[in-house]
Amino acid sequence: MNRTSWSIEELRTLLSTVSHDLRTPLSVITGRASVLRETVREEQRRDLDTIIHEAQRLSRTLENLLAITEAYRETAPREWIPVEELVGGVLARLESSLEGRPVNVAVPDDLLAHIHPVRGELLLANLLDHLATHTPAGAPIDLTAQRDDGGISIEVASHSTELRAAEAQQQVTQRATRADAFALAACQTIISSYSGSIEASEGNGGGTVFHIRLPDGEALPDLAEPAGAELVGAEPSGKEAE
Amino acid sequence: METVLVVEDESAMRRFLHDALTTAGFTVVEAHTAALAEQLANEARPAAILLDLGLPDSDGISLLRRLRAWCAVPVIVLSARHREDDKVMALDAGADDYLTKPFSTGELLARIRVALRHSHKLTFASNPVLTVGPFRIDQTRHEVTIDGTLIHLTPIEFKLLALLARHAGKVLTHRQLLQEVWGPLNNHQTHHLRVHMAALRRKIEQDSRWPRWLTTEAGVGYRLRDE
Repeated sequence: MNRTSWSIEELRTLLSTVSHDLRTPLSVITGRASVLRETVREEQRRDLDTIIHEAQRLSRTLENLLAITEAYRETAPREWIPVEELVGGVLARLESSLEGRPVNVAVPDDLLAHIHPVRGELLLANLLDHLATHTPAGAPIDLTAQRDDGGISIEVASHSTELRAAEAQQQVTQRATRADAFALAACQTIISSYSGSIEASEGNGGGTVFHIRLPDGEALPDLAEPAGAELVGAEPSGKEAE
Repeated sequence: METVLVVEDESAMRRFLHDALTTAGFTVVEAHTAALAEQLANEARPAAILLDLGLPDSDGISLLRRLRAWCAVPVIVLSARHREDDKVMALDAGADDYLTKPFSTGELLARIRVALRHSHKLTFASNPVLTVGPFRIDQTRHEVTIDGTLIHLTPIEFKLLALLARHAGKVLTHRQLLQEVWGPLNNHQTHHLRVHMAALRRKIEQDSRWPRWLTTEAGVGYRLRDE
């Protein structure tokens, strides 16, 4: 083949083929390691956990790669999703990489984000994972979100002083060459596809704060439920919402 | 010993599934094409089918539709994370559940256990009282208790919880939930469902931001875990 450049469409097809071809070996590696894990001694179990963890990380890199190519092509369909639901999905998914780091979530109950559910999760997962990767085990992560004028803003922060905000900012804005920088570049691509923005800055007293601004793509939905008012269940002695 | 039919074109993946399932005490039959899968689904009388959606000779969804014309065996599809639309299409076409690659053996066996339990349960009359984890759901009296404590739910929250509990452990798609709870002619949108789910979660979870029981399957639907 004699050619000097690829079209975007060709690259997309190539990426999708490559990611399919990588996914099967990754599944076999994770699967085989998880079978072995049940049969070996404690020390070896830690090695297998590392294999599983790294295979999962590779799998997420693949996902970011696909998200970047998809987001360049088209804006993913947006839905109104409670931010609390997005956060719940992300925390469940990242349980092992967070290694017990407390995540302090301050999100209003009724806060809705207008975003694609899978890309929204990927966006938050990348930021939390970045902070977890660059801070000592046990260092807390704060996640706050609120509605502002015509959209929402989200902050994901770690106050661990080992983190350098300038570096994170560079990774958000520059074309990435390392895997974790690549994840932040994917965040930038995802949020830009919704005309939003993301930046990293230094927090009060050190650490890194990611600021996301996500404008709504349409007017907030009317959530009135005509026939849902009366309560089922018995006496007021029952336990109410926590 | 129960038989599982594995429909997968990648041989390394097939061997892994074979070993994992055999170790867990299942008999495994394997098909690498849709044509062979249809034949084995009939001849081998499997108790469950694992179906990779990316088959070479026919797409997994059409195979699923053909199988569903005559066969009620639980089908669990294997798919990639970013292929949410494929998963939803497979679930709406009659698949019972899905696994996102890569998955661990633990997740694989848990899904199969749930699918088998539900297919066995079909033979019993439905029980007016459902018990899932700490939840006891009395469908006659419309009462829900958590570890014995009564909680207040709106009618919609009750319907959602009862529906998820009847399918405990299994994923239900947004469309399935909307149709069952609001009826086939409803014009509610997914965000209505999400808002009710969020409210339900705040009533039944200790920490609704880190749900233990009512989990979200991003872009697909919801699951009430039972273990």
